Amino acid sequence: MAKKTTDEPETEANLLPIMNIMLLLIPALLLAMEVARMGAISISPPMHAKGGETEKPPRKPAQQLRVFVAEDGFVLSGTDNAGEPLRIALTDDRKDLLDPSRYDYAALEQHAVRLRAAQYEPIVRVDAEGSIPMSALVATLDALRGTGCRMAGLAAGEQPPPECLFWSVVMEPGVGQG
Amino acid sequence: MSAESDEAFLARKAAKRQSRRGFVEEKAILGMTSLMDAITIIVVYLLKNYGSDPVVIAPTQGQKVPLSRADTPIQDGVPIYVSQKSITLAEKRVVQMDETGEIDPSALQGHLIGPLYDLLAEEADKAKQMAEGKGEEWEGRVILIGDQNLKFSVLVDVMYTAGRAEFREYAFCVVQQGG
Repeated sequence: MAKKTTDEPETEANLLPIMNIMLLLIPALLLAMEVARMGAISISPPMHAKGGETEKPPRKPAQQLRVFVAEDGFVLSGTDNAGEPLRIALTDDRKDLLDPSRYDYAALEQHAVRLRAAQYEPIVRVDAEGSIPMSALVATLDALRGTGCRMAGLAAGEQPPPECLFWSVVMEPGVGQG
Repeated sequence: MSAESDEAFLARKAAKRQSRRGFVEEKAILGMTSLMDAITIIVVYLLKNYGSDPVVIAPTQGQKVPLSRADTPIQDGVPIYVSQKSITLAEKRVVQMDETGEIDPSALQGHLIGPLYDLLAEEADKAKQMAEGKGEEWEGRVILIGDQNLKFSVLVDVMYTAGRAEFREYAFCVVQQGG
């Protein structure tokens, strides 16, 4: 005699279509994500410099650094235009303009350390010749900021650490070599 | 007798033997629940990562973004892609460059890049309205995603044009060294 059962048959959810969608989503999201980690260098136009005493004019105007990136090297001067501008020659003038080792960034950083210790403000006013590539400009800003400078917290309102030298960049095209 | 009919004969024989002994082969069911759990966690993690960036930077074809030690995260702004071939804004190729990497002279009025200015002014209006709707102050930031070989003169023209369209903060997009 056949046994009668009152139990309902167990139904299992068909997960295969959901699995298919999920497996398609993973490579799509991975492709959409950045492979390289991006960062930003904030640049201000002449009126919006940060970090200096721009709101209250000091009795004695604070000294700011001006850097001109020329095809034959760097030219450093102060905003008071006192004294001869300091020139930093190329490492090798036979090197191509696009060669990252053409400029002496180590010497630039050494001067930045010395000038920052001499009570210069952290603002640097940068200009360059029209032919200078962006990579050289970015490397110049890196050297002026200093090797140990970490500014990841700046976006959250933190102040840059003391290792940061000239971290506030004002782009002043057309000012020239001072 | 062929190999195929041999196999069929052996299979029938095995089935007969099993049915005589009351042995029924169990069907293997693939356990999907644990796999589903793992995949759901991965998808949620990826979605969270994707959504946390204020701006998604995708350099145009052939564009090499310069390397830098800068570790400041990219803040919200209008991205402008400037390669050796063109200037792209809001996925529209706005200006073409010539063979030397300079801006097409017909698009230039002094330092002002006409077509770029028109689009940037539109973007500025949109961004201002959005900021007003949120009750926030408009920051007026452009993100310049330039090629590593981009000439400073081109960069100046782009920055000047952005300034004329009321943008007052610039950020150079870089690839973090060792990042």
